[in-house]
Amino acid sequence: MFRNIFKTRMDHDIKLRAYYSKYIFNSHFILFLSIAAGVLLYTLLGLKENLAGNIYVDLVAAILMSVAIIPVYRSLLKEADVIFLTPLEKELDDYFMSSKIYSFILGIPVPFVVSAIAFILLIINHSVENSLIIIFTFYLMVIGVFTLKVLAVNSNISPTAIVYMFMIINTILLFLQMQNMMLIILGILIYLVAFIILKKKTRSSIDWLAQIDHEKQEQNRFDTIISMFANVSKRNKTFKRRPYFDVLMKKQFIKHYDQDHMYDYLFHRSFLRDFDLPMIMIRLFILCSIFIIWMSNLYISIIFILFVLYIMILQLQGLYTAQAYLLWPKIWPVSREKIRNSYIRYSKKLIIVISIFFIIVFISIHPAEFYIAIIFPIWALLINKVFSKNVYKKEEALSD
Amino acid sequence: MIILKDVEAMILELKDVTGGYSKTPVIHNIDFNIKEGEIVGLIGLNGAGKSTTIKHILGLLQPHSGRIEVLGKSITNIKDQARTHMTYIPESPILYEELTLREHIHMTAMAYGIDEQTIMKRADGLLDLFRLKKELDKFPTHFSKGMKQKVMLICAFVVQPELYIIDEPFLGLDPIGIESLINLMVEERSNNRSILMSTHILSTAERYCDRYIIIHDGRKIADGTIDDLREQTGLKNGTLDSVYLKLTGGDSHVS
Repeated sequence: MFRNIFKTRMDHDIKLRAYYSKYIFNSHFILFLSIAAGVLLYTLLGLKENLAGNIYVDLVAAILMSVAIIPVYRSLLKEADVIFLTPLEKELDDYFMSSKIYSFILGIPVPFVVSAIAFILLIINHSVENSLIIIFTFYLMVIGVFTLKVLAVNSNISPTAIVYMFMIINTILLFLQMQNMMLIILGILIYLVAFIILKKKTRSSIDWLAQIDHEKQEQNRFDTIISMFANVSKRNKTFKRRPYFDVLMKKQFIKHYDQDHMYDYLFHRSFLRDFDLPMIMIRLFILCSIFIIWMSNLYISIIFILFVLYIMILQLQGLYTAQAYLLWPKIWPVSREKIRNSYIRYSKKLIIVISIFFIIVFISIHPAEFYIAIIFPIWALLINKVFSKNVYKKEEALSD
Repeated sequence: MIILKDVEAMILELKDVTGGYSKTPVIHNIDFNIKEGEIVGLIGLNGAGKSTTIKHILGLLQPHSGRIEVLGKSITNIKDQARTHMTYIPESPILYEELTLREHIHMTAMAYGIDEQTIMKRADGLLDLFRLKKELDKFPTHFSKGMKQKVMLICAFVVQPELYIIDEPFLGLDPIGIESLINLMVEERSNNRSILMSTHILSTAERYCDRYIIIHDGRKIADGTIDDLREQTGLKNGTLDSVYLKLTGGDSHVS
């Protein structure tokens, strides 16, 4: 019976993932990923000759594998379960077993892709056999961290702390194993000790509030990731005040105090106070900059900047969507056209600023090819126009 | 732009309005008007059609038939202009999580074309009245439900429109808040502004409303002053509660 409840919820979750995948993996994005993967593979294979014997390659491979171990644990529990399922707690073994299997499968694609990239890096310094043993250890770690995380959710230890702690431990263990294969035993011992400690700390009964809270966090993380590529319609946006951004919202910046610009005022605050958006943008910018500086390859720089701009601009659409469906724009005596005009104006400004940052990074790496940087703002504005048109079309269809 | 205020007309007039969320009507042939300087109570059970009626007045729903006029002009032709003459306070506070109380006031001012100096001058008294002056630069989403409702009230009363549409005005307010709101409504009435409020606190409504529109099963069953309703029901000294019960055939749960 309870397996059926989980199956119904799982089917719904799969449907949702399939729905978003349809939008994420559209033909443009697949083409883009193929080109990016091709260039990356070409560069990595090219590095093989130059980097043989370099211990930093081992370190990069260890870090890459460790950061890829972020297990997902989706219990698919709902708030109402705390009332309706609590009395039946002892009969829920099937439910939780199914949820563990489903969660583990959900978390496999990222380690799988990373293991392929790591393998290319590993064979620079190691034999194929040893590289395969390291990859095998990596998969054991994937299972290990998943098990520990599930235990932590039902204890008073933070699952996030466990995951981050093991990111560091795994980096050290993998790096040591690359130097001496026998050290795999040390890893097994550490995991066994951690398992015994956590098992003791785990509650014998289900901590419903912790489980439901964790499920909410996982759902929010999923929404955040999906919203990097597509609009998540039912997403509960959260905001937070960052006092260091307050300076950008000072009174003197309100140049136009009128209906035409009221949504510029709102979009600016929605963007700067969004829980994820500005930080995601900054992180993407930093990661992209580090990567292209490390690679120092003209084609990689162009492709990655265009790719990151694509993701950033897709994220921005959420700002408009959030306002378009709210009550107040329908009540205020302001034409809906003005929301759109404000969004066009504000997003253009933001895109130009972001593009300028990328232009600076690009020109500092490739000064001789500085003229190529002009494509970044053009691409960004073009992408913004295309995405915005789709959002407007959807909004019109819904309001009809 | 048509200056609606120049037109000699009712503030609000519903003429034979039938409508609802889909093709099946929820309200049928609703007919009433609101004059200048009047407080009108819209009363009915859960699902009677009060909120649907309000949504039609706000232009959120299109009537299947009939006509809604604000200052003599049909709202279907002049939706945005009609809205400049009314503000709305929903039953549950709806706020922008990303805006402070001050920024909510600024947004309202920009929406209704009021300059910054004027709006802050008007807001000053209201902030004092609802004891929110110290919270001006805080996020209202962190406020209690009653405080959030006060933010909604400030944003509506700061505009000083011809018509206020208030859905369950006393819900969530503390006794001081209720008293402040009543004083404010009475003051606005004396400034010739009108108020349409849906409420289930009949004893309070009886003290301050000039007229009542009673809706039952999506139809208007009574419209008039308390004396008119007493006459209609034959309850000479009846309270609004007893009159209401008589009119609706004994349904005792009003909301």
